[in-house]
Amino acid sequence: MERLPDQEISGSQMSFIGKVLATFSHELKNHLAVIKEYTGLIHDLFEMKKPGGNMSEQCLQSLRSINGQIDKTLSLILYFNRFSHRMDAPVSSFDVNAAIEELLILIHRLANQRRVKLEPEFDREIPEVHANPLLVQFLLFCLIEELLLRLEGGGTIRVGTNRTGGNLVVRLATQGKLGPPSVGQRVCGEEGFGLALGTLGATVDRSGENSVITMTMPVKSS
Amino acid sequence: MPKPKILILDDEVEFASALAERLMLRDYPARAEYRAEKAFDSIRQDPPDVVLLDLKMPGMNGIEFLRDLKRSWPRIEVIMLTGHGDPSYVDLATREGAFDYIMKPVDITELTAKIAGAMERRSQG
Repeated sequence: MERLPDQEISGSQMSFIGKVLATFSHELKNHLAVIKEYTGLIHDLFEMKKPGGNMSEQCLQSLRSINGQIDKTLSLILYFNRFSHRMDAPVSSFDVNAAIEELLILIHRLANQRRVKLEPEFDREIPEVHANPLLVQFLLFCLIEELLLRLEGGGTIRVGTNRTGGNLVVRLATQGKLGPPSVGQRVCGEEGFGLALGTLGATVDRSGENSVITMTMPVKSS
Repeated sequence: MPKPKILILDDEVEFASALAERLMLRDYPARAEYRAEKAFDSIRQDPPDVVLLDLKMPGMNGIEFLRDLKRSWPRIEVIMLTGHGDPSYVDLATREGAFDYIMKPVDITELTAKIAGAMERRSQG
């Protein structure tokens, strides 16, 4: 059965959401694993009552670690909650910097696995964009994943935003050794990516120096 | 009989440190490493009996590390630490010589039983 354009975008987006969910759940589980180890340690210290050592300090340190992990988990859940609500309306006015920051936080583990740092360089003065925020995040994720796959041995991806005339420009610049473009297979197919670009009225330019990729889209009219 | 020496290799520093402390409370000489390169140096200096190895680490996955470890130190037993227990990864790890796997968060009683099992296998040559 022939897939309609909407289905093409939906299928690609589902893959993207799946990857974000997987990364989020993995991160959450890691924080919980630390909490469980430290609660177990406190339990052991009380139950075993080994002579010598500094039980009070060990317990306090464990509690500090538990607290720290809970804070990290709450922060992550907050970002995930915001991401989830991007899907409440198909089109809305939103702060692109916030949407990108959210994406970078949620996928930092993916980048970390490749020893890549994701660094935001936002222009705080850019206006809101009136578009589908999830599509924007989806396209950026595709481009970032492409670079993650191409960066050999780690590096940095700097994600910058700025306004040029009536357009918002998102710029991805890498530091590190880049493999050939053929290595970067995206989570979405070419058609899904292309259709998403068309829906947003956005363009992608890969011809920048040092493999800078820019994505340009119209801002909201004031 | 002295308990086996344990090396925990996991990039989650706090997790590995806490687990090492819990094992030390149970009289296992345990230590934690957080990067594969440093872990190899540590193993050269003081080979452990059992390595608890995270399946996914930045820059080097656990299966690659396992392969390299077994090539140089075939008698060191390995128990994989995994957050998802993907059967395909677990099968692959076992084929590469891992004794078993354990899910994170770790049940310490289950872990010490697996360590005992690993040492039993090693004693059988």
